[in-house]
Amino acid sequence: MPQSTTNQNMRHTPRFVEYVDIFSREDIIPSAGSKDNILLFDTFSGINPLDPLKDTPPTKIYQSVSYYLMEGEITFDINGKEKTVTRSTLVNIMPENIIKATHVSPNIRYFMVVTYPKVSNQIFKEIGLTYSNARLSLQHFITPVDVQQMQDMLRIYTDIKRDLRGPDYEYKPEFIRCLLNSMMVKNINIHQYDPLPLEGNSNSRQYDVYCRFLSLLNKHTVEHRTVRFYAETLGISSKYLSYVCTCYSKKNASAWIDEAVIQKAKAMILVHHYSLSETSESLQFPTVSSFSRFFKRITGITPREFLRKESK
Amino acid sequence: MILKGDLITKADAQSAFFSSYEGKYTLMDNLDERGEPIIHARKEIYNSEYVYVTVVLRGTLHLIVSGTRIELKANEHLTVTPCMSVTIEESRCVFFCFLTSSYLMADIYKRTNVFNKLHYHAFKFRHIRLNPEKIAILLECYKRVKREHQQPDYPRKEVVLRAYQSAYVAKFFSLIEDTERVNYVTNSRQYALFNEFLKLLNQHHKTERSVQFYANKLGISPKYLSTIVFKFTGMTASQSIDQYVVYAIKQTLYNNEYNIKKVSVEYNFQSQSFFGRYFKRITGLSPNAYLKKNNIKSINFVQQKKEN
Repeated sequence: MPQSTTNQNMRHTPRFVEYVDIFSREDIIPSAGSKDNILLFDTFSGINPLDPLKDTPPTKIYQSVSYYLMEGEITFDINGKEKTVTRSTLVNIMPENIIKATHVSPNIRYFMVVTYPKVSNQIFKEIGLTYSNARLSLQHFITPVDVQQMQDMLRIYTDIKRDLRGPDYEYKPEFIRCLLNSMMVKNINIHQYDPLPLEGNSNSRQYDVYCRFLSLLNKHTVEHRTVRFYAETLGISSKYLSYVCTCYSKKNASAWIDEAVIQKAKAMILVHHYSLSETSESLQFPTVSSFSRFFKRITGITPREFLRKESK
Repeated sequence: MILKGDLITKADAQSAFFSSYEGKYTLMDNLDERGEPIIHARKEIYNSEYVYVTVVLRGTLHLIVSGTRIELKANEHLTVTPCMSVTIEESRCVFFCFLTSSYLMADIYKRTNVFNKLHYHAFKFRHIRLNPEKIAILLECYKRVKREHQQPDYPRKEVVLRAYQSAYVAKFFSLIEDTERVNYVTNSRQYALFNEFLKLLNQHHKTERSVQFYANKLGISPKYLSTIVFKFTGMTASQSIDQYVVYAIKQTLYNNEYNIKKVSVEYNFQSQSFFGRYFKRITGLSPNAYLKKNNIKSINFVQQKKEN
């Protein structure tokens, strides 16, 4: 079995790069930022700081991106689908999306905020929302904004940029996080997205366990599909892990694991154009039919039906 | 005669800017006013609930905070914590000020990592002289809050207001240095005794609530203690103790995630009903009603979702 998996990988040259931090590459110079926390990019100095990225293959990002397009036009390849965005638009791309900018018009003017999971987790916690990579994975939001909203966001952006570039002071990270909080609430309002509220106490150890479980889940979906493995890695009992998950998401640990596997399968089918047998093999299912049955049990449709529906 | 009530009301701001968001965040300023800015005198008001911040940009503001006369000059910043009374005298100045509920302030302090034991600072005010550059930075933070107040209502406005308020607090605590503090310490024996009393209160407020105990500890008669406390806080000793305890309880209730039973044990009450009666006698609200009225979680998304 492991033999055949390697063969599979050799036949398929990877079409995307997984978990490469494209935003902190050496040739990318952010307008402002603190490494591993927040990066800001804008075109106000006359050059596009993300220009060196145009030849990179599609990349799976693990940061959340808020992209405010003021002028010009840009075409994204998001999870294998082309999306063209024109002026005055807000694009929010959540972690786990596979993206690439395929075409950028020369007159482009934008500003964007990239936040790393550590910060975005905290922001979501502070404004009282549940945040999880798995739940929001493969999600993105594109909404046109009016001039006033854009000015409002630009004002917050310039405030953040000035302070990030300026000298350090005692509560600087907190100050910047406060501004990012208000930015996040405004983004949610613009998209009119109805987020899942946070149930229970967000300052507890339980919430910590929940967040760590979800990040572990993102890493080990393929190899490990038992609640027991995750519970043991976290050093708690399976029952307690399930209880904690139910507290914060009304979904137990095994449902989370199932959903993560389905997300991965969907990404393989849609983005990498794997066949069903390849997908089931790389997810380490014994047979295609058992994979099909699993897929149908969770989503209600078979993988083939799903593929037909998506390709329409 | 001490009035209970809000430190800022709409009546004070005939020509100035005034805005209040559900009584939780209140702002007032006369930054845009042309001509001679005059602040009218106000009677003494006892403040049990709000953290009061005022900054003077030009002119002088005359105040009396719990018996201490303060002249707030240009580029000076004053923070008054709850459990103090404030009298405003007629003065001419350009200023801005805001009131924030102390329970919200506790939340703000928690998220900005400043400190979370707010009640240690009860009966105290902080008068700081800052240089004009720092004042300009704070003014900018204030204007950010003000601009958001002026916007028409939108969903989750309160989350944004709190975020901006937290930004102000984070900036403020980064800017200040202890050398800038204007000292009101006198060498009198009474002031020393009063400070000693506050220290004892800080240590023993969870178990002891009688004037006799504190007077014995200080080696003075209860009556003399009361006279001293009245001089510095405008309240008798027993009133001060009660106010302090209730203020501490409110903070603990918030930090303990609203567990009334736990708090009543922590503060050494014989039963929950004793605790409830004590709390109601001083605040006029039962602990449950107080929490219902001032629920932090209601600001967040949880409550709003349920209402819809």
